[in-house]
Amino acid sequence: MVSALTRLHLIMLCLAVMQGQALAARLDDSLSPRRQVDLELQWQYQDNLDSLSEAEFNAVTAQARNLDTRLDTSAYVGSEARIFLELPILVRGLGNPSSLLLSWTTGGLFNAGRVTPGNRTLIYEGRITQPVMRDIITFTFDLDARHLHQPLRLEPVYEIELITP
Amino acid sequence: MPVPFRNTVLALLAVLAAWHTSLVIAAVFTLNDSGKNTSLSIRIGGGNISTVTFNVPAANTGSGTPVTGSEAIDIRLVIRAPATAPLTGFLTVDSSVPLSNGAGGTIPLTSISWTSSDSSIPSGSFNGSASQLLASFPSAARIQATHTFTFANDTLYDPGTYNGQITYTWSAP
Repeated sequence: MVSALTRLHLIMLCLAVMQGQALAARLDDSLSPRRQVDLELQWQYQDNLDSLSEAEFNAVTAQARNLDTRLDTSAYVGSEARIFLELPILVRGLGNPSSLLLSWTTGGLFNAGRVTPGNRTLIYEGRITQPVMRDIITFTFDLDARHLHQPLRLEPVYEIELITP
Repeated sequence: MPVPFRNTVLALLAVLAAWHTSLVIAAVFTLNDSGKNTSLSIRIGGGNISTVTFNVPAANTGSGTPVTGSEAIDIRLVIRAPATAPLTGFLTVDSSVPLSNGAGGTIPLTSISWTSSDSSIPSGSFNGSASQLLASFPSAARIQATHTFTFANDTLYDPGTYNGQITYTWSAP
């Protein structure tokens, strides 16, 4: 039988979790024109194969250029916030999450950066002034072909945390 | 009627889960490796044709004393293919045409053997066939081995200079 005190603690824990989640909400990027991006992997190094390290020899890469990325920040206009780009740790088709690196360059609104599955990287910190935050982003995917078991499906997620409401 | 505690927690967790997933709206990237990115390369020695010379002193002809070739030959193989569509490379050699002195005299290439610096392409001898399998490797692989050739010198042949050619083929059917 669970004591009343323990029940209270568990309910408070759940509420605390909910509060923590509320601070990091996922942003809707469905306003972006391209929702599905199909890329073809290429060997990163084509020449002088004898002199490559094992990692270089097995490195494959793909790039998605100039993606018009639009985040729906309408609910946060006027707030100070941080926006992160997160890559879920589970990537279908990839044997080892650490063998994938996603990096990106931007048009300037968001920060350039890099992230591996299971992690997130800060791309914006400051006041949200527009209901839709838009930037042109070029994504580069680098991975080790030895861990590629089937075509990869990746869903980067944009997350917002309020600093001040 | 009070809601049982367990149901309360489950309901809270369900609300959490529903809230968490309902806002997941993100672009989807699909990274394909369609098999176009395959590469196969071979390098035998330093050029298109590498030459190994066996100098057999007249006094030792057919004596059974092996003669080592003038130079070792470096063999480098590369095979790369997507892990989603792997390949296997096969290294074969054609030693079907014997050495010839141009005057009707021949020496079968089966009289030549080699020792290898690396077990990936092991030591052996030519079998005189057009397609002798030396080794096979799954992608992705880089193989390097140095072969040092030896002429058996166990048969008496007509004196002269004998020339011939063996051809290595690296393929991934």
